[in-house]
Amino acid sequence: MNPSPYLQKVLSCIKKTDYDVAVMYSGGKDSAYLLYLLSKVYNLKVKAVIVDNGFENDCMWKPMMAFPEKMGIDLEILKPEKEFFSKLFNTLIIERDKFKTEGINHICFICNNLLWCYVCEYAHDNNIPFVASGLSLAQLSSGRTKPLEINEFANAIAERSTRMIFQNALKSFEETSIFKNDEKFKKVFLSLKDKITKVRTIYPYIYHNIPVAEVKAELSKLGWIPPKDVEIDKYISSGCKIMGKVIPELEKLGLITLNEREQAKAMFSSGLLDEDQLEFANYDASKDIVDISNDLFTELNVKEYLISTCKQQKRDFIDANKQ
Amino acid sequence: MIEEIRNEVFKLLDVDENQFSEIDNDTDLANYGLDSLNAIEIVVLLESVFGVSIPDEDLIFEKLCTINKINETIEKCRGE
Repeated sequence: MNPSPYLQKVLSCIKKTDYDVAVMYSGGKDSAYLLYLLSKVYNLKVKAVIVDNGFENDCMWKPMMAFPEKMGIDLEILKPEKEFFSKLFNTLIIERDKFKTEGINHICFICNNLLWCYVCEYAHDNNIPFVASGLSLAQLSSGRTKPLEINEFANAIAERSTRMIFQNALKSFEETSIFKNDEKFKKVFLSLKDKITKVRTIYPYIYHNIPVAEVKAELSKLGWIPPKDVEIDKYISSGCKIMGKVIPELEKLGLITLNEREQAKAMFSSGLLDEDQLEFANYDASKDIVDISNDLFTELNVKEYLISTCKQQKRDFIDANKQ
Repeated sequence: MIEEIRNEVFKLLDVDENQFSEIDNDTDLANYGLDSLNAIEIVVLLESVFGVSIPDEDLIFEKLCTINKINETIEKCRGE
């Protein structure tokens, strides 16, 4: 694989610093491959940065930390206050009607955007000129009739789009009760605003569209292990408990829709997915019993709200405390 | 300036030239395919055409969804 001339042009302003780029690293295949791509293909001095939102599965940490070590890449783990993310998720569930704008209409979009803010803050404070995001062209062009044109402006457009997501999220949060009543939460959120313009962000996957099988094959050679206890060819995504335990139940209640299912359907019709993955695309969440027995719902303070929603919808639900 | 904005925006949105006159400056461009990503493409393009830098605070879909709103955003940046 050769470096993209467009991306090299963006990177051409790099000055002599200890690290060239802080990579948003989650342990998943895309961010792991990004470490390889930037350190070995672009020959950049890379720092892997994990932002712990407090909701990662415990089993994730060992494999997540092992890969950068195998690659000889330094790793930094940032630990913002978990309470901030708990309140964030609570608001995104209970006041979700305020987050309808495209780009912020999914809990993970906003969470990922804030993780990016934290990495920008870290990069700025440590004199690292670039942050690298694993956002792909498909994710960036999701839901659009015309894909983004790949040229010298594409990275700037992706960068401004990420900032636009933050601005739209901020505007929506200004309407929520937490912004009106919780000064501490508001202060933390607003403190991130100043950090995002101080470093540049690069999006290597908009210039390198690498098939998933190729990514997994290369990672396998490099000794990458999926951060969940699954075979490498069955591995789909990372181990955030919000994604794994909370969002599926919200989907069953129709409180959230997963764009990934529509994307998977489109990929299947283009011959890019196999039958197993079509099952994911065609899954009808509304038929399953809602399970709110997990302690996470109590931790996020949304349990009563979800019980009330189940009752309104006359839906059966599983709750450990149900009499 | 507004004519130049119209031309650039309509070209980027692939609007048929015959439709140009039908679209007034307060028409919601979402009806002509504007989404959050091509709104940013418009921002980057117009920054280069008019030599301005649009601040992040103005990167809000609502401020970019009509020709008049785009014009106001650019005029504000030019200090007019």
